[in-house]
Amino acid sequence: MTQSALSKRLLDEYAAVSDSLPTDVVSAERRQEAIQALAARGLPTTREENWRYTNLRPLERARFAPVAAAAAAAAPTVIPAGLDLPSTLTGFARFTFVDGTFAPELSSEHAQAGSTVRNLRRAPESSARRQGSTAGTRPLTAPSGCPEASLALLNEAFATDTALISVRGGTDAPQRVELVFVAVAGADVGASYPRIQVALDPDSRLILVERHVSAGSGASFVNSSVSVDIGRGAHLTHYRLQRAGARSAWLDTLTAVLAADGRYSLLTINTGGLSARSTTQVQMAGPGAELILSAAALGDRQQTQDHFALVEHIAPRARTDQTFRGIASGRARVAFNGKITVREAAAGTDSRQSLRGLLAGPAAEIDVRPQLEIYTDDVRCSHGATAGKLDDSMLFYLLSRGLSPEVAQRLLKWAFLEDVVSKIELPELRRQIEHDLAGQMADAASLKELL
Amino acid sequence: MSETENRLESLLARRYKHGFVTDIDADTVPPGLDEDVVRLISRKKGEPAFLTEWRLKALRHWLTMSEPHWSHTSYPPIDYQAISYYSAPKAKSDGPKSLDEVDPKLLETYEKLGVPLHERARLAGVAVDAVFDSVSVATTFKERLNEAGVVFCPFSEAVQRHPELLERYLGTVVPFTDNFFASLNSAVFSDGSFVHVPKGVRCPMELSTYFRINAAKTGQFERTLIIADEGAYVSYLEGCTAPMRDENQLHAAVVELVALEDAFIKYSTVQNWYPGDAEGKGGIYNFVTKRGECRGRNSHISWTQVETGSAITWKYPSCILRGDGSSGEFYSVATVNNRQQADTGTKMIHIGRDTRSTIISKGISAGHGQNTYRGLVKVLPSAHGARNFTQCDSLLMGGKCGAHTFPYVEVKNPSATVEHEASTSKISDDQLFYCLSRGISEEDAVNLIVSGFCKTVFKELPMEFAVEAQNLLAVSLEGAVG
Repeated sequence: MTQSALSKRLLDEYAAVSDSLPTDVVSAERRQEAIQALAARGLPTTREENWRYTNLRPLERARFAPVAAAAAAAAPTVIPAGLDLPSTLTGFARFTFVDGTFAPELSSEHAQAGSTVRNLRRAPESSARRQGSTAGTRPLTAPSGCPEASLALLNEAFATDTALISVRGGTDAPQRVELVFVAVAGADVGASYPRIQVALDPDSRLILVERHVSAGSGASFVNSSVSVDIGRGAHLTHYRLQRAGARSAWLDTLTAVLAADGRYSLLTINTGGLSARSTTQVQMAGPGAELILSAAALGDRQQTQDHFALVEHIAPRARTDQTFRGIASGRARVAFNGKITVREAAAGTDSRQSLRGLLAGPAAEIDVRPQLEIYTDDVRCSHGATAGKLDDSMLFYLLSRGLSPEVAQRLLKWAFLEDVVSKIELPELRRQIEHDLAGQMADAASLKELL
Repeated sequence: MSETENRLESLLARRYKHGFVTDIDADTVPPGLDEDVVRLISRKKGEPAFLTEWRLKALRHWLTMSEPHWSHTSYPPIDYQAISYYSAPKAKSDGPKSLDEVDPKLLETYEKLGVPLHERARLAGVAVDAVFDSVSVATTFKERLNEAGVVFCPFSEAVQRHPELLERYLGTVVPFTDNFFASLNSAVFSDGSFVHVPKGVRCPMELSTYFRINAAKTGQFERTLIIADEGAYVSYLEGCTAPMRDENQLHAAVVELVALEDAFIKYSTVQNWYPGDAEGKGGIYNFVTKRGECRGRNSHISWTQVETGSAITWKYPSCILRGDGSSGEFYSVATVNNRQQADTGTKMIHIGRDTRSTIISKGISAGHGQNTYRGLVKVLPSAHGARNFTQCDSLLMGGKCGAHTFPYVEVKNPSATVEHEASTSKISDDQLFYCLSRGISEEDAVNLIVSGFCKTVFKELPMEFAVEAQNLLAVSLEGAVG
């Protein structure tokens, strides 16, 4: 389908459902602006430098109208029986969204002093939640100038609900919140638009666990949008675990701004979806801000796992540490495109990128692009990237110790991911993730024994 | 006569008015580019039909293309219809009459580089009749090359003497459809060099355009083709360290290298064209397509470049590693000062088994200069055991310059190993302090550190070039310190 035809379909679909989209989540004007901007710009194509590794074919087939728009009129979202959600984490308040809309019956709120978490879409039984105004729903960082963030516009136009988290300072113990997004409906029914806004007041602390899972056919179209605002001296630890269904298209845009001495530890593990793409855009706006971005991706069969991470340093003495580990098996493509821009004012910037890809299948592909764009001299920036197979000498060592080739290979793959997994500071979560990862790797039984 | 016919006739007459199809023996065609201009160029050069047709095909393709803008550079739009695409070699009398008329800045540079007196006149384009010894030198060279069977001549001469080689190899590495500037070059290329080293021959000397037999200007659309037959060896030097006087602002050259089985081609470039003044006015746009293909088993192509000149440099000398066991190398030093912009790097395309490539790139940015390394390492599914190592370092001098690194690593074979590492920093205060405390002046200390930074590339240059390149670097970074 040509770009213009696609843009036209986008506008048509929007016009058909625009009246039913909740204005308390995003105002009608902003939706209109977003859809116009997106139609004018066009949906991304692989001809664009930062989309060339993405599988964008699902965009051509997807129905853009949200599932909720189709379902809301008829009946509330049906939660499938036997929905297998990840087990809860001790001390975390859980909020579950099904196809982008809040599902109170699957959520367990812990009242936590110092933070508020709410969804903006009125739940049928508790109209008290409804916001009279759209205060607090400031636009996500304007993506107009950034072609990489164009899918956030798609989310803005069609969003059905928002998870709004605001954390106040003054308590030492970090707030703990878990968000679970479940995609149920297939792409033929409609799309799902998870949407999160996180705001941390100065000196506040938050640990946020964000999960994306699928139920049902596993062939959903998910386009999520996350906006993070980290105040002066605030710390956010953010775990993003994407385990969408094996036939899903999962697209995601995250924008974050860090004020002075803010600290953002973002850890992403992408294993699901047939075509997955994450766009992460972080601006180091305050002096002394710190970003630790760790990402792991596993691709198997025909999967495409693409991650684009742009970090912009505009204030002095900020620090970025980027780590990526990706394994491509089968016929999968695993790509990581990490770009760090250091503007003139960002003297004393210290950045490090370590991107490594492992090829574990005869027709697999690894694409890594560590990019640096630097406009001042007082910096220390380095990057390293590798793509290749498992180290023969390590394999030999393990074989000489009597391990079978299969076990030795799995063990080394496991160790390869440890650079990212070991950064998970919550033991309970780490165990869960390790089990998940072991499950993703072929012949998981022997690995699970090792855990 | 009907009205339609009248109009038709007047249209025909108007077309004729431009006179491109006439046989007027013009030295320079009016600005603009169409099929008539291309035919004219081809006829002027007495080219065989296949070449004329090839040029026309290139032009037709070029007309369908739009200028690329993905490079990390900025410049005002170029009006391609305002350029004159053919001019006969200028008469020597057009140049300055003596060294006294030459820009003193240029002479100062020659002094610093230690260019011999008699060469200065030639480089500055002074209309001296007897240009030192070059005629006799060239003759001696020609004899030795003839003995070995090496063909080294201007491209236009090769068209007459070796059309069969041209027909076989021209455009096989860089097809006329390759990119905007290569297509333009294919349509209107003026002249260049042609080298053919026959089977098993080791070229007895370094071939250098500096001493090239055709003293005439090769113009802005240069085209070079080098073929190393089985087991042949050739080392080719392009450019020279001294700045050349040049009136053309846009340069769109194409270089094609073909290495057959066990052949070895080493291509070194020192580019020091006019970079424009300190405010970024003027200067050459150097938009070049350079590519070599290792066609045979165990063939080898090595690119070495020292880029200090030009307002904008946009070039990616690349290697297509098709033959099993073939290897490619890329060594580069790129310096930008004042308002210069450079977007340069390489592409290594691994196709054959056990192919190897090495990339060493050193970028130095000073003043308001913007220096970009852009490189692609691509391993195709057929390239079992492919191996690449890339190192690209950037040195920043001053808070207004930029250093950018855009590497692409794309691997489709699980037995391949690709490594890339890069660092960007300013000159270490510790190193500087150490030198200063030993009584070395700041300028010398910086030169020393920069030389050390570039050492791995300079050692790839032929000996006498390496020494000149170091001086050149010091000159081009002048004013960047302190």
